[in-house]
Amino acid sequence: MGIPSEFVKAAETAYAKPSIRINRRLGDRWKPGPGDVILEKVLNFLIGNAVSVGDIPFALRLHQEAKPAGVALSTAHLTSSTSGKLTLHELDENLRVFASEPLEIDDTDPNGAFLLQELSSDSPILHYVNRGFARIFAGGGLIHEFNPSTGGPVGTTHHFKRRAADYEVMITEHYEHCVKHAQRCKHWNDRPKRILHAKTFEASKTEFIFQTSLEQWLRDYIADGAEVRVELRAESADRTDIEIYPLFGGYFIIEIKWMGSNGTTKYGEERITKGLKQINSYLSTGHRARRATLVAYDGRDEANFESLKDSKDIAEGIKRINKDVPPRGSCYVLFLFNKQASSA
Amino acid sequence: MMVDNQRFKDVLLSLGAAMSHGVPTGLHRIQLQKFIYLQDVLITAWREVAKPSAFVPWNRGPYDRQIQNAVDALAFRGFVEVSNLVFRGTRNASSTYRLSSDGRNALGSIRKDITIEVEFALAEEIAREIERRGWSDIVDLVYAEPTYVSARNRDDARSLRTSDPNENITTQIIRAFQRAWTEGPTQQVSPDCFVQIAFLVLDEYRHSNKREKLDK
Repeated sequence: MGIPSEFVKAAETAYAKPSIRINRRLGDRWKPGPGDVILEKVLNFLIGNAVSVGDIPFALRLHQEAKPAGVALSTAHLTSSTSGKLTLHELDENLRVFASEPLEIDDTDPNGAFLLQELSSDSPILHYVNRGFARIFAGGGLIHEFNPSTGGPVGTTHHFKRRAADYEVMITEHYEHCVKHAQRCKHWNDRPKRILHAKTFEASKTEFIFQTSLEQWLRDYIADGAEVRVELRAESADRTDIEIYPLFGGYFIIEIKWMGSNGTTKYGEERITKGLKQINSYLSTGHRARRATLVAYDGRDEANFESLKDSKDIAEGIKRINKDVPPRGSCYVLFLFNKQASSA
Repeated sequence: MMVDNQRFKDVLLSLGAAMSHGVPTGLHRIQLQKFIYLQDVLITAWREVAKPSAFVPWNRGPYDRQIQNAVDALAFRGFVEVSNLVFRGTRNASSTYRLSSDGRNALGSIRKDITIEVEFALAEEIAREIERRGWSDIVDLVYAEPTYVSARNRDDARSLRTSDPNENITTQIIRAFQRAWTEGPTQQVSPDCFVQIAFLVLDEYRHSNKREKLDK
């Protein structure tokens, strides 16, 4: 007997809950039932106090136990630090702060996220960035991003909401709306000369510029609670770029490459060959990986893009490669336009 | 009186677990039925222990007369105390049950068996989750349980085969979670976490039903 659709939906909604995701990362160190209650209490506190806290960043490490000592969590407590350092408050299950420690990093330093992620190996950490943005880390990974003033999502529109299994459509929609003309993905260093950034403030290498943008899009618009997993720490050789875990049935892998020049490195079609070998390897070793997709952002000349062999035009700027693609795999090459409206 | 021995154990476990989680005075007749139903569903889900089950989707939710027979027999033998007894008709009576000191001793004895100890730990987790939501919600929770809801919506169904993992939809849902937990950098998780997750799924179903009713 199959699972009725209303229960599939209920299970997927529960699966998307931060408390359950934290449990997935921390196992028995975080109990999802009582944890859900703590998170709700913290969220209610933030919704009620975000205006008073304003844009002063802080971090809360959440503990599933009652500590006898400590003071009740309050706006005054969170805003009292004047050192300019990011303060990590230890919070018990009754929302009592039993310890506070300034970290060796400025509260506006974007590397604070990396540090907190590392510190979240045993207990979840809520990072309040400003009154419009907060996130939760656990087990060294990002669990959830939300708007602390409303408790709702950080994103604004939901026209692009899709199920995780439609992730390939989402890749092309992300391209159309963010990357194609660099509308929201700022990858050009020298746009007329078609030189990409080697790194940016947020991304330590060219590939991460595209990865971060696509990851954010998927996080905002995946509708069935599937977990989008990307590690923020440095890559390792065998690590996939993005993995998507729906509750029912396997997971999906996205491998990201870029072609063209970033001023110091030049890449050509050999990146496609390498990427295809990688997804072939993921699909043969990851027993439950359902599909894997290689996405190559093409910053080379348009003539190079147009002359790609064994490819099929899907839409303007989008080609699908057919050769050497493994079963359950797919490969898209997405052209990076550099002409601006005035020069087009 | 023919009584399924399995139900003696279930009654002892459920009363023992409930009395230490929010209802020291014991469980009402309906609460006892519903508690053991959730226990059956969730213990099957986790352990897939085969046991005879004869729940039917009665007009007041799942009901197994073996439970009533078992608790009556345990009361007759002094293991269970009965209070607040109100008799309105043959199938319309209410009462509250709690373990007597002999019942608590019997529970202590059977818990020495490792399998039963695991079941008791699960029963305690179920009791804790119900306590968190309020014991008055137990009927609502059972009415949101997928196996029961599906059987109620089927015309031909007269029995709820909670012990059959293919019929027990909660088992299938928990299997999906269990599978998801085996992928990626996940940590080992104990059965009580899956009981908590099952309750969060029930909550989602209950809330979506309420939202639908409000929308109408």
